[in-house]
Amino acid sequence: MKQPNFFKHFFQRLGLSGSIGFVLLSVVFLAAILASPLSPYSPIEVYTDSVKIPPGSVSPSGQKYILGTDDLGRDLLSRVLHGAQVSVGIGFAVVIMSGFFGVILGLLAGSFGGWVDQVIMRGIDLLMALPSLLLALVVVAALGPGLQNCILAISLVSLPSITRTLRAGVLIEKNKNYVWASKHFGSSWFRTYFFGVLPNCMAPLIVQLTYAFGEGILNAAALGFLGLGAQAPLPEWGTMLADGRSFLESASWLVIWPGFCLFVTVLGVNLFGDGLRQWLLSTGNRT
Amino acid sequence: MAAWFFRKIYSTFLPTLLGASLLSFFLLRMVPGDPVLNLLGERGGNPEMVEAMRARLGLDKPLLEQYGIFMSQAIRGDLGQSVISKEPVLVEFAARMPATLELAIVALFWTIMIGIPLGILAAHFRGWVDVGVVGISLIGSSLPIFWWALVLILYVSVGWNLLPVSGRIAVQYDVPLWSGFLLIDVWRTEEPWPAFISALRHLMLPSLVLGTVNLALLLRMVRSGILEAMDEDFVRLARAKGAGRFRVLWVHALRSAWVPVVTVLGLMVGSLLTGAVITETIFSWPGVGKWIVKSLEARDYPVIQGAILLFAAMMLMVNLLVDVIYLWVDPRMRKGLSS
Repeated sequence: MKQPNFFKHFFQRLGLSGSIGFVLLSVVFLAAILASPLSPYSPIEVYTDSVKIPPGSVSPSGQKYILGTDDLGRDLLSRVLHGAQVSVGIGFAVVIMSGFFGVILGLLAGSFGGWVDQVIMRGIDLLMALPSLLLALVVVAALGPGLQNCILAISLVSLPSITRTLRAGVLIEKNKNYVWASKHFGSSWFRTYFFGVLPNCMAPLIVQLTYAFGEGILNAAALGFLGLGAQAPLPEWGTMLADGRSFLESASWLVIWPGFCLFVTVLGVNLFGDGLRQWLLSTGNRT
Repeated sequence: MAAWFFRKIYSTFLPTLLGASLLSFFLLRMVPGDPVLNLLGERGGNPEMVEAMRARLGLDKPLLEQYGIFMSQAIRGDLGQSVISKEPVLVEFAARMPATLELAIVALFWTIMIGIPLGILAAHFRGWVDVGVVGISLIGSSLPIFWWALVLILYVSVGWNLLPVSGRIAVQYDVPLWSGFLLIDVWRTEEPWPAFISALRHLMLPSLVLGTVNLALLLRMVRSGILEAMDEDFVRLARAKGAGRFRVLWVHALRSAWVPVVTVLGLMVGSLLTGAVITETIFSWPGVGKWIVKSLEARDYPVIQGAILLFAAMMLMVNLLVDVIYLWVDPRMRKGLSS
């Protein structure tokens, strides 16, 4: 009896578009988790006898390919499914990295103020002075292309919004009575801010991290598309698009499907983020 | 006003620019491997050659001195020269900037021409118009533009053969560059119309791709700005005085919705620059975006370093301009300034 009530409540709070986003995201997450069992073939194994087979056709050796194969005879469906795994992984890595450093910097800047605040926020201004993709491009160029450096660069790009969100929250919270009480009962700075203030700033932070998740996936794909992100043969959607681009006329499905998956994922994140924002931020503390 | 402007310059503009120069300088010094050996490539070279090149690029001096030299030259307008083409960075930048600007201006133009009226209509009619506009805005803001560009090429150019795939103008038109903007330069040739049409046709797909994300953002801001303004007392007063719905919407409500719209227009410049990197790469548009990607691939560090500085300067100038425009469109902000 309890379960349906919970879901009803959850979807009501998320609103229509938020719920659609949640469903889209769930599909992507399921695809990512079940990528290996769902894939009919290996995502990286090359079959030279079944190159560029159109979607739904049968190869000379009698195998069926639902989404067709690429220029090296790899099954596109398997690659797209594993691509979900890669992209979701990138998204979480970016959220964890930028969340971790963003929370620390935001708490420090908001709680201490003065020169600490000045130094941190000037640094953040600096990161925002460059267009986001350009900053990521330059960082990747400095560190060298590859998935890890790409995640590092994108986390750096997402850092400003998270730091600023948390700092704004801390500035509102730090003058409240419970912070004063906590300090005067002898709690350390760490205890007061991580266990007292941080939980009270969670709502806007969660919303911001949700958007960072989507933006991270999109930026990683853009870097992959420019050849600076994930490297072949890793089935990353942006890299697949870059590879498929040369066969735009002869094998258009190589461009359509990876991009469509990317689009659906980002749309899901944005819709879910909007729903979360309405749910978490329109009641209580409105920013 | 003047005092405010100068305070803004030295408290925000200059420190951030200085920071950007530090960032670009030291970031590129972090590159693994020896830049000179990277430049000489696999052919390598004898030790004397390596040393000579190191000295020529000034890489044998201490890091801080290198930075000092770079900055003192940058202030005098010398950003060094490209390792590949041997041209000064500033000259290369100036040669490519008009192409990027032309694309960005056309994209910005149609975004505003469509975005503002459509956002207002959505706020006015609500119902299915509103649902449609919100839908467009949601889809537009989630579209990966590199995919969107490829899909457009696939259907519009390859499939229906309607528009050209790449370049700025068809090859048979030889337009001597004067301002760098082809839409202007064609009028100095013998037969301007066909060349103008050709340039316009080449602009269509890239500017559509470049403007899509911005359109989504603008629609959203105009719509919510108007909806918010419609609840304000001054709108009710205007209605009470007998102003028609049309006048209230386009004159009274739109005026106060300008502030978020200006914010978005400022943000757009950043996204136009970012978008230019991808759009120009896909459509072989000879602008600064493609130039940067090319330089990154070729590891042309002076160019990358100079380009970062120039981009940061442009972004900061736009931010400054946005702040000035705020004061102009919203008198309430001017009041806060003097106190």
